[in-house]
Amino acid sequence: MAKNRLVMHDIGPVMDADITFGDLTVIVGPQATGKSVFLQALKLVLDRDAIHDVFKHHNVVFDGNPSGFLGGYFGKGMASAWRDDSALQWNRKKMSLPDLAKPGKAKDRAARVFFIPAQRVMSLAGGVTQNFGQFNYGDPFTLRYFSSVIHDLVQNEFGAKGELFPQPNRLNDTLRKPINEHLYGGSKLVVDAKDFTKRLVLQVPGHKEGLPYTAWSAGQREFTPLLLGLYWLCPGGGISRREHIEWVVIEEPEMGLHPLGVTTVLLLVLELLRRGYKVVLSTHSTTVLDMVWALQEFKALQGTEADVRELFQLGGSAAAKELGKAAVGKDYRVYFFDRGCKVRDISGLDPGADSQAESQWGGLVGFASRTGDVIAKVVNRFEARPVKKRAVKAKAPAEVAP
Amino acid sequence: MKRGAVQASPTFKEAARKACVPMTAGKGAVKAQYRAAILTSKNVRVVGSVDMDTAYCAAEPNSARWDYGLGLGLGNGAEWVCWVEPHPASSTSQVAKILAKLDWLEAKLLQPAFADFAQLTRQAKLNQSLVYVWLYEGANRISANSREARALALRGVALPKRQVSF
Repeated sequence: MAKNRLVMHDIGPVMDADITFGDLTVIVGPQATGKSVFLQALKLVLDRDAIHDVFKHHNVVFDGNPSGFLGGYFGKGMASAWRDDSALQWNRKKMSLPDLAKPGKAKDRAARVFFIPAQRVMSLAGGVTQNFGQFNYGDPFTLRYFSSVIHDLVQNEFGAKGELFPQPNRLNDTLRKPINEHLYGGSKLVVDAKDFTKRLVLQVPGHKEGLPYTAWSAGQREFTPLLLGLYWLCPGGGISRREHIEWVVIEEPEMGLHPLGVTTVLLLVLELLRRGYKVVLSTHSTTVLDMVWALQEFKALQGTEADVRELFQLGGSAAAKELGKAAVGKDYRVYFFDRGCKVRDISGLDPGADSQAESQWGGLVGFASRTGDVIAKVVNRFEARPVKKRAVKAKAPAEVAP
Repeated sequence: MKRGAVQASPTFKEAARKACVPMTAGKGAVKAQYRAAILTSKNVRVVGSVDMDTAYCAAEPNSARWDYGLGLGLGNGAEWVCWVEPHPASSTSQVAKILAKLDWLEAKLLQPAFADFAQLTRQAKLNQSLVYVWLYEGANRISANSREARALALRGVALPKRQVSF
């Protein structure tokens, strides 16, 4: 039996996808090719009952109306995603969105997937966390649920402590150091409870007042909810993983970040893998694929944890070595979602592959390839240009002289 | 100049004779294992080839020598040269080796004996044809967005290819 294989046919913008997940699965592709719908479908397939229970808990009841549920889960307008010839399979078991739109009767109803959505910045409006009920019908479930998790974490667990980053009992020094350096630049992330509202601010060294959310950089606004999600996934106190959670989906982890920041986020992804989570990313970042390519090559060429540490410029701490060791032992997959095409497996990421989809990494380095080719051509043309005779140059001053 | 236009330029054969580099008909000078990777359309023919590496092996044993020159021509008699270097692309460190070979080749093209080859090289550049081609077998680990790929482009060398078509 195929393990962790999701097949979708003609569902919303997804034409044909047949994906077998690795320990880390990366999906790439232009906008509106169905990446997000695919990832949301993965969560629905694995967490059907947990999702229905969350809606019920918040008094959102669909009364068995599939369209109502699908609009509430995927987002308004997605009710028509399921068509006559649509098909859905998980590990060869046939399913349908209208069936999944009805609650099941399973005993084990716990969620297995933690989904960090692309719209995560909306979970911290003005630096204040948002709970499930503050969103509207038609806002994607993944955003509403992620927001509510972050809300509970900040308002309850961290609300009393005040300081969110750095946190000595969350993430080790190998991970905290690059976050501090590349994402917060030495500032502290704290909960400011002034005005009877718990609001996130950045404490910049030398400044009395905390920097409000609206004054943060775009990258800090994007990264902070992601960090909080990772705090939730990596509890302190010697607990390695959240109970029941097996999968972590992160949409566009690179959002708003400089490549140094992206590299830091990738370290956090490796930490999730080390802890045994299966991770699925969607991305438009070549840095993400650079990492996957490097790790695949390390695996193929007997690379070691030291190579991983060199790639990420990590020291020789035990935690860094553990991270590197885990990374070289994992299975990596990359899939390309393209418009009007079947989803293609480009896991090899071979720059010399016959398939342009693979050699150009799903279009992510297509422009770089073209740039190189065109520059080489222009360089050659420039070098072959006719050289003006010296006599012409010598004459010029005389002609302009009064 | 538009590709295909007739002009008074040297032939590949004449250029090889003046440079005292033995010419072989067609792709003959190219090692058999690489010939299949060099393809031509029905309009372009390989008029001859030279093995620069072998020609200078004894005289310059320690130099980073470029491998082959390929004479290409159209039916109207216009000819140009493409310089082909089969070389591993297994890591970005190979880029520096290719550029060292290119330095060697360009130094040769500045010598009076190579004036006709230089003219045929210029013709290739004007034709917007491939001038310097890095052929590889096995793994390619030169990513298009790497610093080394940009260094190649700035010297007029395209990214390594498994096959080249003219």
